[in-house]
Amino acid sequence: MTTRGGAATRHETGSAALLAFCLLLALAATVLAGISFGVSALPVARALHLLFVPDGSPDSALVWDVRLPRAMLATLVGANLAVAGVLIQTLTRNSLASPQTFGINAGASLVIVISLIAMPGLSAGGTVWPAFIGAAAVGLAMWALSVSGAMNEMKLALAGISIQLVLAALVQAILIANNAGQDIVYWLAGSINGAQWSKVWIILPFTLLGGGIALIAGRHFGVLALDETTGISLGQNARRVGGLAATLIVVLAGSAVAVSGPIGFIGLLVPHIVRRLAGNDQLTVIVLSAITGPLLLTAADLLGRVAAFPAETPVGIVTALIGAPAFVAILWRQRAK
Amino acid sequence: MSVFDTPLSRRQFGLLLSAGVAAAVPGIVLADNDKRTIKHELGTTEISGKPQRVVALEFSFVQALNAVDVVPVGITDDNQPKRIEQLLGKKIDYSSVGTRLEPNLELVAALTPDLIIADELRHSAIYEQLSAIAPTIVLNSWEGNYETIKSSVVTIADALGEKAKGEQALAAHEAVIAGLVAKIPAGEKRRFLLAVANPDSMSLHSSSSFTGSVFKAMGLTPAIDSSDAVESGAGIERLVAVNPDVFLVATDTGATVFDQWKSNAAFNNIAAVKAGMVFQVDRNQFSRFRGLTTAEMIAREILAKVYQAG
Repeated sequence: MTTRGGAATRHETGSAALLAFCLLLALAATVLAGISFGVSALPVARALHLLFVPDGSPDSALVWDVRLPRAMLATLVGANLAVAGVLIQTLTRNSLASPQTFGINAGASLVIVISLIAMPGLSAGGTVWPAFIGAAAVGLAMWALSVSGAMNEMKLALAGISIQLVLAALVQAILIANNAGQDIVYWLAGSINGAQWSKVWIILPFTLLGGGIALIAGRHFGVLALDETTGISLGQNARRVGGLAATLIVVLAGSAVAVSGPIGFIGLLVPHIVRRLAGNDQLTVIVLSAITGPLLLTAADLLGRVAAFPAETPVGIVTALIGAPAFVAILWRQRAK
Repeated sequence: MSVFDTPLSRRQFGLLLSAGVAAAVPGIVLADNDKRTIKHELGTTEISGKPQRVVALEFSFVQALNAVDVVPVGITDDNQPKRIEQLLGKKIDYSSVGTRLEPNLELVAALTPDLIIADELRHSAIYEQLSAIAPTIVLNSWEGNYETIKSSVVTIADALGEKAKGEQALAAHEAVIAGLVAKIPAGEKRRFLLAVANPDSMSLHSSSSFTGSVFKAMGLTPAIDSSDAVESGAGIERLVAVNPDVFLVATDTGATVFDQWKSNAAFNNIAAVKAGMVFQVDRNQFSRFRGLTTAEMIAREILAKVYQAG
């Protein structure tokens, strides 16, 4: 029994590593495509060359100061949202949970919009703290609802979506009352069009810190996924681990919203895709999600740039168009169960 | 609930009242016979006499009214009275009736106007409600180019029973513009772009925007030739592709991408940036306001900034 279990784990680890490698290759290919493609397209070979040997030409500046930061931003935001999605689904034991469906993105957006209107001089970096406050407030409310046990999986998701709708309506009300708010509609749709190295530097520490802690603590989160009683009997302080997971969700999702606006469906779908591909081992799911999230977001961004060329479709609209049917499919499968 | 509670009946009451007054004063009866049919974007509207209580739902209408010396009783000033002061260069007495995007119909009705001037893009949907309050004409301001705005001045003057005054104002304006254009060196081939800087992207104004068509009227070449007035959500990538030779960036007081992009190598490759031909301009004047004096102001500012000529 033990040996067979061990063998199975080794086998799974091996296939997970292979899967991770393939996903990384796909991510690299998408990033390269993103760097080559734009209003003025570059041959892939030239883009690749400039990536390693910048020559100070206008093309080189385009690759290094516009397209690379954009690809990096998509990668970091994708990783943040996907890992936050894994954590929130584990923490609430709810497969419909995500930073979006639980209203956390909307909470961050609302407080950012209020801050931007109250302080028009607020820089991109200045929106991180408002984002954390909004994300934390909604996160806390949802967590309280979730641990109260008064609601089943579906009801909790509906409660989250209701909160999201209320917050989105408030944002709309603010935008209508204040014409200056019109200027941020692109950001509100979820967009990485305004990518800059400065924005990359804003989110990077949170991705490294949040992602790193999630990896180190991954095994503990796995135990959390079982249920509280089992966790306690295994000697785990469920409350403390839960608190840590909740903090990570707020930091990861909040910083993503601050730089790119509320991008939906990545946090919801990626954990499902990864679990289908690689099973339920928590650490594996976190690692693979941190690759699949960026892959999905860079691909969606590429699609958004091609769809209405030369105008750009905000990536948040692309993920919604792809994500909504996928969300329905998940609901359908659950109903079938 | 009395019948006088609805705006419509209040207006009818007002009409009854003025009819009574008119019957008593022969002069006004004569004015009442002076009926004009004003053609506008949503059809025609009959207007008699000289409307005195005008509500303007766009900035450009306020400027047109000013050209014929009429002070509107109500303006959708976006709750920012300072903008109206900037628009006219003086303080006027008026009531705010909400935002241009969402005019407050209760407030409009409460002013008992005798003429409402509305924007085609933003207010076509409430044309019926506005018409129930007072005779309403709908003109294209939001997407109006220079020619449209000029003809609107005459239309508005006609609606006010001051057509000759409107035509005079237009002729005087065209003389001013001609004088300014004469100062632009011959053979100017550079491509001009106006962009509004937002917190996350820029909105590029094409040849069919108001400012773009003012450029054309000045003999300048807009960098984007398009029938779509504004291209929003543009990043550095798009700006590099457009590559204007003279670049006017319209900003408000808030933080925008313009501050961030200044340190971007790709942005610094744009022809205008290399040539030192990037100028920050006021967003109200270059993008929000549209009108005769605004066009003169734009021409003066371009002369001062690009050609160091007054």
